[in-house]
Amino acid sequence: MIPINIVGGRGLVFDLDHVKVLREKYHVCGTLIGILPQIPQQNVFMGLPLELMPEDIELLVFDLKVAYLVDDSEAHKQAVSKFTKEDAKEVRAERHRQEQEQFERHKDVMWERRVAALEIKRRKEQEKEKKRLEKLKSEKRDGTEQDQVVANGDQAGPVEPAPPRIPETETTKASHQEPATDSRDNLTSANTEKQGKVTVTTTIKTEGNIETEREVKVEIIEKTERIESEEEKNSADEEVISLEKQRWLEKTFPESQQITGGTVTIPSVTTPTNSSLKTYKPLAVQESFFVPRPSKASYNIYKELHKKGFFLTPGLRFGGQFVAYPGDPLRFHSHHIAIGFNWDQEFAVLDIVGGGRLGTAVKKCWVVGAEDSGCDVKEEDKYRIFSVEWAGFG
Amino acid sequence: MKKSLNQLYGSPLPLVVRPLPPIIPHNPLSWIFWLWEYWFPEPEYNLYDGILHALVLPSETTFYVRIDNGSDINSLWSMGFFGKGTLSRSEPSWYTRTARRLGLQGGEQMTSEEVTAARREERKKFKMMRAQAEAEELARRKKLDEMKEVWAGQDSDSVSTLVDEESKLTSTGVASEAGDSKHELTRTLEESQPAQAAAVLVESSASPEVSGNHATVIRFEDQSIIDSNNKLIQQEYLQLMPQEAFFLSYGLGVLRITDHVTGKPLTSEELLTRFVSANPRFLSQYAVYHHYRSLGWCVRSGVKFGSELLLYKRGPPFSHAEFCIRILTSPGDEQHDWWWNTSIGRVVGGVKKGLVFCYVQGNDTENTAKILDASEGYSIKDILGSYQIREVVYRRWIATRNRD
Repeated sequence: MIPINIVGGRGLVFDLDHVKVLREKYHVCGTLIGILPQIPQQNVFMGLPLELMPEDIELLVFDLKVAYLVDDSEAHKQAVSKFTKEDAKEVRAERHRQEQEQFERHKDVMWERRVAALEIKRRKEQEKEKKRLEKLKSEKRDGTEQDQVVANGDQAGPVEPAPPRIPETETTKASHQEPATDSRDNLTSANTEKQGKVTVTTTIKTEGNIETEREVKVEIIEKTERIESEEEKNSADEEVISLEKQRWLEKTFPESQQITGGTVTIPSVTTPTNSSLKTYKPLAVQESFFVPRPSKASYNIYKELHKKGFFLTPGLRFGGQFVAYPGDPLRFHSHHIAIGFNWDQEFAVLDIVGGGRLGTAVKKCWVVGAEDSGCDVKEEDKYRIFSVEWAGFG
Repeated sequence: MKKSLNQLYGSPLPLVVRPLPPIIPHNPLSWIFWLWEYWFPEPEYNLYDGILHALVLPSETTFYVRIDNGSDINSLWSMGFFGKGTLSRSEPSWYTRTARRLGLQGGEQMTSEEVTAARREERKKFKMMRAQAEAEELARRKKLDEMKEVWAGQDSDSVSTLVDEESKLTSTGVASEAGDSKHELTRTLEESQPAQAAAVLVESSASPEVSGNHATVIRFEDQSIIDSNNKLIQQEYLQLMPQEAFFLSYGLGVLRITDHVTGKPLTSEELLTRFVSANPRFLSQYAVYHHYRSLGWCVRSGVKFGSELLLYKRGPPFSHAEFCIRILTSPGDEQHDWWWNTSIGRVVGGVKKGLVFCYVQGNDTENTAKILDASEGYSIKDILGSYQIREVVYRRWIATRNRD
């Protein structure tokens, strides 16, 4: 049984599973009327709830008896009145858990962003450094050619495109895997030669051009020291990452802000779409409760076309009571604009002219139908439908 | 063309308007003449003759007024576009059309039906030509592709030959670029189209004897409509709606309507009695008709667009109708669903006209009873004066789509 909530005289379905059943099994489409929270500034694609026509309700509830009506406001009131403190606590705890979850996700996102930013910054610096070193070397080459060879050989390691020094998180790691391993090999080799390197630089110092030598020496020492610390980081990669992350997170999101979100704006805390009130139980409507019932004329044609396998949707857009589709509206264009009348109901000839013209203009057939209530009519011939098409002469 | 239209349809209503005589300052006689003419104008108007016919159906009786006199028909059509030719789309043109078809005197003019037919014929021809050109283009492309396939399997030195062949093909084709060619073709065809249509017009209107040559086939049934002097007998007459007839006879006073049965002229009251007895909503419908006529619109029936009336700025030959009028009596009398509004709105919007809901306030039932009873005596002017008209323009408007 599918609950149909009556809200303000309109029948709404709030559950996606029910919507599916209605569409696939009972050929009732309804109209989605809810705004999508992610894209609220449009009305082309709508979300839950699904609004049903009075004819849909009549068919489902009173004819097929596969759905029942819920007095939404009454159900809500009852649910709220039965709502105990324990329930409230539970709801709040659940809500808090959801928020916390979302907050954690938010923090991860922020950390990833920071990592990416640092990475870009580091690359730029490295580029700059590399240029500067090359410039220095070329200056030195003017002075002493022989030493240059030694120095050059030593420097090969650090000048290479260095590994991403900033610890990586899952995502960044994956994308930088290839160059990282490659340069890391270079690094380790450079590191083992650390001691020797220092000696080399000192020998250089004792020999040639003193001014430039000193500079180069300082450079190289700095470089090696840095490589050392870098190497340590690399070896204890995981721990460092998590430590650094924790440190940064604690700094950026202090404890006081964490409980409620505080001054930090969490963009992705979404409102839950399901009611967490456990006591929210649908209940049958009272006799006096207003239920939208269709007129006999409109329900008769609805029922007749539905019986023939058509999907019916409201026809306001096309200037009729219903628009009839030969199959699911997502797969077919509609074929008919349908209007139901009582058997002896009068309507203007002008409306036939207008209807015929309209049907032709939108490539549909304008049909009118009524049930012949005469007693000598056979049951299967009772409902009669006439189609009107615009024909031109000459 | 425009000037001749103005000459043909210069007067918006079938009334004769005379200017006052000139005043010559130093001639006191002219002053007196002017004053005389001003205070005692000589009534000068043409009185047209119409016959009231009743169409009796089992369920109801409807009335229409028939104009048979040829000059009356012409005047009522050219001055205000009243009525409809029974055998024509709107202007009574059956005589001209048939005379031309039979090669008789009187079929010199081009009628609007023939213009439409010629245009449709041209369009059909154009479409055929276009289809043919497209088929040729397709065949040419196919041939080119086939040749390319053949050449692709052969030596590379034959490429130059292929290029030559290709350029030859394209030069013989309609145009060089495939995308362009279609467009260009369409344009050239379109350019030639109005010229051809004009040529057809000139030919058929300027030389009746030429068109007479191919139309001398007189069928057996045609013989009964040609008299002994070899002239066509008019079969068509002008039919006026009750509103038009009552406006001409009561509102303007230029139409004398006689009863078909008794042959006696009818007074406005007698006429009104018949009209309201046949149509209980006649009074409000007439009020609306009179309202727009007195505001200078050319008003015609709007049944072909699912509405009561059509408003033309000057008349059908000048421009399309601008508004469709749907008459609604005061709220509560008749109720329509919302889809009814969208239905008529879409129909009218589709033919690029404005839709006007005309709300008439006035008690049709009471007034009709008063007219039919007639024992108390009533004044038509008072009854019509009690009607009020309010207009609401309805338009399909979607905020996101109608931004400009």
